[in-house]
Parts: sequence; C-alpha cells; structure tokens
Amino acid sequence: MDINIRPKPYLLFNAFHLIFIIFSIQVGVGLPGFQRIIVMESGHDAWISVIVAGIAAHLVVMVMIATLNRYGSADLYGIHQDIFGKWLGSIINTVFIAYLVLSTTVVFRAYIEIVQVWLFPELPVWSMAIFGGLLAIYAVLGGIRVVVGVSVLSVLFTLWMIFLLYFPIQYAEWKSLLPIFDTSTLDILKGAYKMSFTLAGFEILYYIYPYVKEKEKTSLFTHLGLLATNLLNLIIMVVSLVYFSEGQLLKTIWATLSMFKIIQLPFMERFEIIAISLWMLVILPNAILPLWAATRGMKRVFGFKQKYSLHGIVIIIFIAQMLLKTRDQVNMFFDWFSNKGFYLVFIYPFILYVLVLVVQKMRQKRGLASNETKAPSNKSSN
Amino acid sequence: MRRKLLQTKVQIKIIIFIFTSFIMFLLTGCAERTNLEDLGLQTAIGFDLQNDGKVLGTSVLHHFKYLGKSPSQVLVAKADTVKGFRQAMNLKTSKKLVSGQIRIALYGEETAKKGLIRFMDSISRDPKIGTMLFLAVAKGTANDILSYPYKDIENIGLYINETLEQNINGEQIVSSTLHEVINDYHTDGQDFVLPYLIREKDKVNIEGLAIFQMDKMIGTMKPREGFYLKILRDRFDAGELELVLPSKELKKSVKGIEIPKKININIDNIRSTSKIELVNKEKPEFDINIKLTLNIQEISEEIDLNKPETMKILTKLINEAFEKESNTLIRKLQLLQTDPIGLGCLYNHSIRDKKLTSEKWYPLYKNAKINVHFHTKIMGAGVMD
Repeated sequence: MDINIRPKPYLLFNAFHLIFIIFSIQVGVGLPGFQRIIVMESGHDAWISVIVAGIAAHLVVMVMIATLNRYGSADLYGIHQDIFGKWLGSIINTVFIAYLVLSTTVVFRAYIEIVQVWLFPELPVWSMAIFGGLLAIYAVLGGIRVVVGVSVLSVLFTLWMIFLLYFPIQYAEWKSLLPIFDTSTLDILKGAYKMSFTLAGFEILYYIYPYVKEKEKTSLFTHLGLLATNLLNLIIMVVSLVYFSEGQLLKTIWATLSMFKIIQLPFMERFEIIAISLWMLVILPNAILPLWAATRGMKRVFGFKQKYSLHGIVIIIFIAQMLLKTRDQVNMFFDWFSNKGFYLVFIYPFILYVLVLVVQKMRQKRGLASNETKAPSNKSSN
Repeated sequence: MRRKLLQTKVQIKIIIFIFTSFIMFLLTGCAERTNLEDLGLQTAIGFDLQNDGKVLGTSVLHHFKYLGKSPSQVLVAKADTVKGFRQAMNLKTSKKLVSGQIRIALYGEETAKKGLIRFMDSISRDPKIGTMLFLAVAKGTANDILSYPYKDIENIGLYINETLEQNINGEQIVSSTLHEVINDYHTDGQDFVLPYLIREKDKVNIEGLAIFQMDKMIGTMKPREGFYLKILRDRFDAGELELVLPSKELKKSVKGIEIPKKININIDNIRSTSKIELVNKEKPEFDINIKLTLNIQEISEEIDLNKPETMKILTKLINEAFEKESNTLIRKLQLLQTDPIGLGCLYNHSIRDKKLTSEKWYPLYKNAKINVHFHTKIMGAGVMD
C-alpha cells in the first residue's frame, strides 16, 4: 500500500468545497437535540461550553493539518501504515474503518428515530433503513466528486432554515442567560466534552485530504467550515436558552425541532413535517462521506474493490440498525459511540501528531547516519 | 462486441432506474394516508376532571365539505387518561380525528384548581400539536362552554381563539400560549395566568384572568387587574383605560361653578416599558420603574389643558392613581403567594450559587418590599383644544 496517494486529476476537487464538506458533515443528527445534553452539565452557561468545544475543535483541526502536511498527499490509512508498520497499522486502520461504519449507522438510526417520533409512528425501521442504504450506495458509487457534490447541495438547500429562528426569537427571554459564569469551570468543561458528538465529523479531512486540489489552501477552508458550524451551534444554543426555560429544556429531547412547533400555518398540519423531511438532505453527507471513507479504507488496507465492500458495509449497517429496537438501546448505543468517538476524534490526532514527529525525527537521524537522502514520504511499504 | 455489451449495460441501468422510481412512488402510500375530507380537524379541546378521577374530554371538530358551510361537531367522551378519550371519540365519528390544528385547550375551573400540569404535559409531549395554542380556564366546566349550541357562532373553537387573539393583540390580557405557560411553569419564581372564560347565554366572554400558583388555580383577577399585570410584567403597546382622579388639586383649572369631588378621565394609546430592579438581595426589595406615555381621550369636566401647571398636576394625579392600583394588585398577589410578574425569576438570575425553587421563593416573596414608580408623560389630548 502506498502511503501517499496521487489521485487522477479529474478526481480532485477544489479546496473551497472543504467549507461545505466540513459544515455538512458536522451538522447532522446531533444538532436537533444537543441542547439538553449540554444544559444538563453547564446549565444556562451552556453556550460557553459550545464556544469552548468549538475552540478545541479548531485546535484539533490545526494538529490534523499539521500531521497531513508532514506527508505530501497521504490519508490516515497511509500514515498509520507508515508509523505502525503493516500489521499494527492494519489493525488500527480496521478500528477506524469500524468507527466510520458505526458513525453512518448512528446517523441513519438517529434520523429514523426522529421520523418515527415526529412523523410516522407506525413506520418500521427496516423500510427507512433500506431506502437510506440504497441512497447511500447510489451516492457513493458515483465516487468522491459526487459525494462532495451532495455535501454542497445539502448545505445550499437547507441553510435557509436558519432564518426560521426568527420565530422563537420573538419569544426570547434574554435575562435567562444571566448571571454569566454561574456554573463552575469543571461543569462548563463537562458540557464542552458532551459537545463532541455534535462536533464530530471533521475527522473526514484525514481521508479526503489527498483529493484536495490546492493543498496549501486546505487549512483556510477547513477552518472556515468549522467556524461556520461553531457559529451555527452557538446561535442555536443561545436561542434555545432564551426561548425555553431551563427546566423545560431539560425535558425537551429535540429542542431544535420543538422550536419549530411555534410556526403555525393555516394550510399545513405541522411545519416540522417539512423541516424533518428536509433534514434527510442534511444528514445525507453525514452518512455517505464516512461510508465513502470506509470503502476507501477497505480498498487501501485489504485490497477489496470499493464497489463490493460498499455493498457489504451497507448490509452490515442495515443489520446493525435493526438490532437497535427501543429508545433505550438507541440511547445506550449513542452514548457508547460518542464516548469512544471523543477519544478517536479529539484526543487521537494529538497522539498521532507526536508519533509522526518522533518517527520522522528518528528516521532523519538514521537517514543522516546511513547517508540516505530519501524522505520518508517516498517510502512505500508494499 | 464490446459496444453491444455497453449497450445492454445502459439498458439494464435504465430498467433499474424505472423500476426503483416506480417502487418509490408506490411506497409513498405505505405511510399514513390522510385525505382532507376524511379528517375531523380538532379546533378546541376541553378537559374536566370528574369526581371518579376520570377525564371528561370535549372536542370541537371542523369538517371539510365539498360545498357549502363547513359544519362543526362536538364530541364528548370519558377516559382514564388525558389522551385516552380520543380513542373513545373515534368510535363516535365517521372522520379520523387529528390534532394538528387545535387552537385552544380549555380547562374546567375545578380541574384547574386540582392542578393542570398533567394535562399540559400530555399536550406538549405530542409532536402533532403546536405550541402556539391558547390555554384558558372555563368558569364551570369546559364541556359546558364547548358543547353549548350557539346560535351565531359557527365553530366555538375558532371563535374563542379569535377572541383571545384579538384581546392579546389589543393588550387587554396576558398572552397564554402553551409555550409561554409551560415556560413560566418551569421557570422558578414565575407563575402563569390564564384567561378566564364565562358563557353568558349565547356568548362567551373573557371574565378576567385565572391566577395560578405552580399549576393550581388559586383565584381570579378582573380584566382591569390584568391590565396592570401586563404593564408591570413587560412592554405594553396601545391600550385604553378609565381612571377616576380626585379633583381637589385641579380646582383652579376646572371651569364651571360646581366642582365634583371626582373627575373621570379616559386615556388611550398607552405605551409603557417596565424596568424591574432588585435593590436588596438579602431581604428582597424591588424597584419597578414604569415609563408611560398616553393620550387623554375624555375628561368628565371642562379643564383647561393648555396651562402647563394643569398638565403637571394631571400627570401627578395619574401617576398616583396608577401606583395605588398597582400596589393593591401586588399586595393581593403577595397574599395569594403567586408571582406572575416574575420577580422571583429576576431574583434568581441576579444572585449566584443559590438554586432558588418556587417553594423557597414564596415565603420570601410574601414579605418582599416592592416599590412601584410610574413616570407618565401626556402626549396629547385628542384633536380638540
């Protein structure tokens, strides 16, 4: 397996699209109901937690880009292979593929849960799971450029929904934000920790980096995308805090969707029907980007053809969704997933960066000693 | 050979495409189907707790008809749970009951006195019901108001909705949408009030406001008190009020030989902003400063309004009248131990590290000192001099 990949030029996409990719993969099933989880920890100072978590995400992305810059055009699989060698590298790569597959499962299952509660209580899980799966296969088969295109469209078609916040703002009670810093620092940090599930997704950069056309602009556009998500999270959190009272927020599972409940139209039963249907577009990039990355991994690590592994993975996801039956099971699975995800998404990049630095320094020393001028990035382990 | 293979591949793709889209279209019918003509839209629901613990539910339906008037229908059923009566009601109608357009939830007085949270929770839990419906309390039973055969009212649910909406926009009563009520209920140190409706023969009137402590009704308020509550609570736009002022200080300005003891004036275009401040944190003391602008619409005596000192005295008298009535209202609320102004909420947001619950707040509130100051500005006195 080559550590660096040099995709054919027609497969590359402009760095500018990274804004849409990062934004669309971060905004997903976390956003409809993240308020309650954060407020449980940090009360009416929850918005500070959102800011803290956002800054942490920017730091992580900085480290990720620094790591990627040490190689020219490598993805995470290649870097693992380089650092850990063939066997250990493959095992760690498998863990990350599993994480990607699980994240797709979580996204689909969470969306089905929302549809079942809000729109069609009688709808069986399998029907939505099948259609979600087919849609995902269809999109991923189109290749990276289609996947990126879906992200761009997803953002463009759904961004207008932010203006709906106008309705709850009319009922805002701004004094509920006072007194600021009423919560202890520890609780604010705990709240920030709970944001990891909502913020996760930007780790996709590790996998799509080789396909970015102008690599030197990666940093700028990734941070812009991240900033957009952070601002959106912050706005929604603040509006939720002033619209709901704290006790009410703690009882509301999908606060963002509940805010839509005040929109009253004479010709429509409920506005959420539109909002939730459109949410399918929002979560689609959440599902297909990791799915694409996972099939890439199957090809890079095990040499499976992407087409075949894609079908296999989608079947696994389908079965996994069917296994999660009750709300309790779904919640337990999500908690478990977001706890593990925190370490993989927020902690691991730092460890990896240090490892890459150490390994490359060691190689440089050895290289100087043996008079080898070859840079490690040109090495191939296969 | 290769070209042929490519052709068949394209053909297969087209077939798959047609097949899947066909299935997609067919399957859209698999989820719940709803035809407008088959629906009974609920516009109002009423709840009355019976003596045996059962809930008597009343719901007003709006039917769709191809031609002519859309008739309304009233269904009544009993059940053990709040939601349970819907099932029983479905047995009584040819239409499928849907709850997305419920505009008003009405509670009987006895029910309200026993506590409403059970009912409000059940409504807010339902994703199909919006949070902008109005809650109200009926004098007597909700069933009586909703099921009475009114002569002039086509659909009582929509009628009450319009009545409330009109009066809330006209700043006569405090808004009581489900969201605001639930919000107030969950805010420590803040109680809610609901419109208090009464049926008089063929009409439904707003009799005043029902005062709540937590979720239990503990008294009523007259519309005039409701007006003051609204002024104390938040911004106020375009209202109207009658005031009775003592004439002693105005003697000089009044024309005419015999001067009555009281002068009645009517003011309108009242705009106000209220600013509440917590001045003492140890022993709760609040300053409520209300800036008021108004127009004088009518005065029972002939008064020379051109003189600056007359205006000064008039302003002072109006301030005093407002302050007196506000203080009476506040005293009443303090004695009842209910806080619809939200002073406790303000207190809670001004102190640190202390979690104030409503139970802890009420005794503090009862002895709290509340100073009300009005700052009136008379903008004009109509089109005549």
